[in-house]
Amino acid sequence: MSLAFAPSATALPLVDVPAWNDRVVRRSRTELSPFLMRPEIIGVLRRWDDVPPISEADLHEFPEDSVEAVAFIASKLGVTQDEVLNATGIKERTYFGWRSSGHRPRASSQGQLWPMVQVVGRLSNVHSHLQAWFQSSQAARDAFTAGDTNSLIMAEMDWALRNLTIDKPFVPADGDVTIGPLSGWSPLESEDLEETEIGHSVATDYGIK
Amino acid sequence: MTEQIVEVDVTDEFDRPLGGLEGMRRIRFDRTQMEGAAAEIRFLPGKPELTEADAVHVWEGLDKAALPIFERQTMNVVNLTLKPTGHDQTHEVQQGWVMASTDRRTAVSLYPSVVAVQTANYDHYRTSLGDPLTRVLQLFVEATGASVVQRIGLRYVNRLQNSEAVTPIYWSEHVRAAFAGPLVQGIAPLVEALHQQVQLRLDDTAAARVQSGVFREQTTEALYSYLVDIDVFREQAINFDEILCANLTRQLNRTALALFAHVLSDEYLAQMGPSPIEENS
Repeated sequence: MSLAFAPSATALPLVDVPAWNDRVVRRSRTELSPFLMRPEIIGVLRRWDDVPPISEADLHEFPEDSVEAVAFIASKLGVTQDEVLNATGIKERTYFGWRSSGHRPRASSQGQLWPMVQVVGRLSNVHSHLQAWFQSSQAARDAFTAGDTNSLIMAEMDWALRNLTIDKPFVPADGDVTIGPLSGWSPLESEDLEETEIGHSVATDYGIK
Repeated sequence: MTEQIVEVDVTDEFDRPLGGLEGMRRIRFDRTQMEGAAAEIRFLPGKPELTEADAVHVWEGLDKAALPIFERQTMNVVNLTLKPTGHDQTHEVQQGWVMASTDRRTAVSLYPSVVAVQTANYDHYRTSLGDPLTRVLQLFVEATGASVVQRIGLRYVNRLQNSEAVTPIYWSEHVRAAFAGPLVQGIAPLVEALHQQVQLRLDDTAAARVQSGVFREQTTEALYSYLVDIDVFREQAINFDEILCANLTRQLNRTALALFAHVLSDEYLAQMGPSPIEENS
């Protein structure tokens, strides 16, 4: 729902803002069907709750074993199981051995699986539609295919720098200041950028589909 | 509070609000806009799935003419496994069924572990939620064999509107200071919207979440309404007993009403047209 008066959060690009919602102790809640109430009230309650929707995809949460880890990467990026195995350097026979035996795999047989899980998990928190970004970025797909987690992260950072509108860093008049991680960085000219609004996503699922 | 509103009308222990809150008479407000009300009971599932035959059994025991819509529905459910040391919480998707009125403003939802009665046509507790819930629970337990209740919840969403509320500060005179927050402080003229969430511990297993605040209506002219969202619930594993469930739910209702009175000023409550409810209505 788009509301003209809704204030948007001030974006802090490249700054790792704590996920405050994760730190709130939440107890269970009594669900109310979104079909019951007027849309504007549903919109207000969603903004108040400010929690991401729980979708079936979210139910996978963070994988607990190697088999889940393969499924996790495949579902987040929209790629096949074989593509995940190839990218992370896991032999197909090894993978099916894990599935059939349920044995805990040796670390040496898991290749780049867990570093890739870390990166994909991180990216999925940044992108509301990770698959859309991944499928539209040749650099990201190349990095993934090569199992190169660093390049995958760089592809994301490069995309963010080119697409997210960022105010120039404030520099006092005397210029005698160290800006830290932003030093030496200069934003692209606005005409080169695609307009993108940064804001928190509003939950689209209020419990009942 | 005015004498008319706060007169306590206790007939048994379940009519006494939890948390030592001050009770109110059995009243209904003639001039409020109840956006939605829900009574929800969560069970330890008696069956992993709720078949269409089970759901039809419940539906046929209800007033099918009043709930002619019968559909399949999916719900994300937060499950609590209660232990002496606390509880574990997990999410799962449950397939269920919904029976609704033609205008969909009243609905009964059934899932393997959840029974819910919801309405946007709220009149008063017994007729709108209490009695329908008791009937649905009887039928649900018959059909599924569910026997352990894990959570009982009641939720009310009230939207307070007034044509004179052209700025948020209007509500500073009608909401108690504890809930008005910045509206009664020096920055009040700057407030554009307000949201406060309060979590209350009522006893060892009962709690409440009160969300309240001002929001701007989607009208051309500036108009600000006040929303009060009260969720009162008990998280406790108990063997299903229809009378006990009915009483515990009634107790949550009395608690919700008491909390509502703690949010709004006496004067505003009086303006909302409280009228007594007859004992057997």
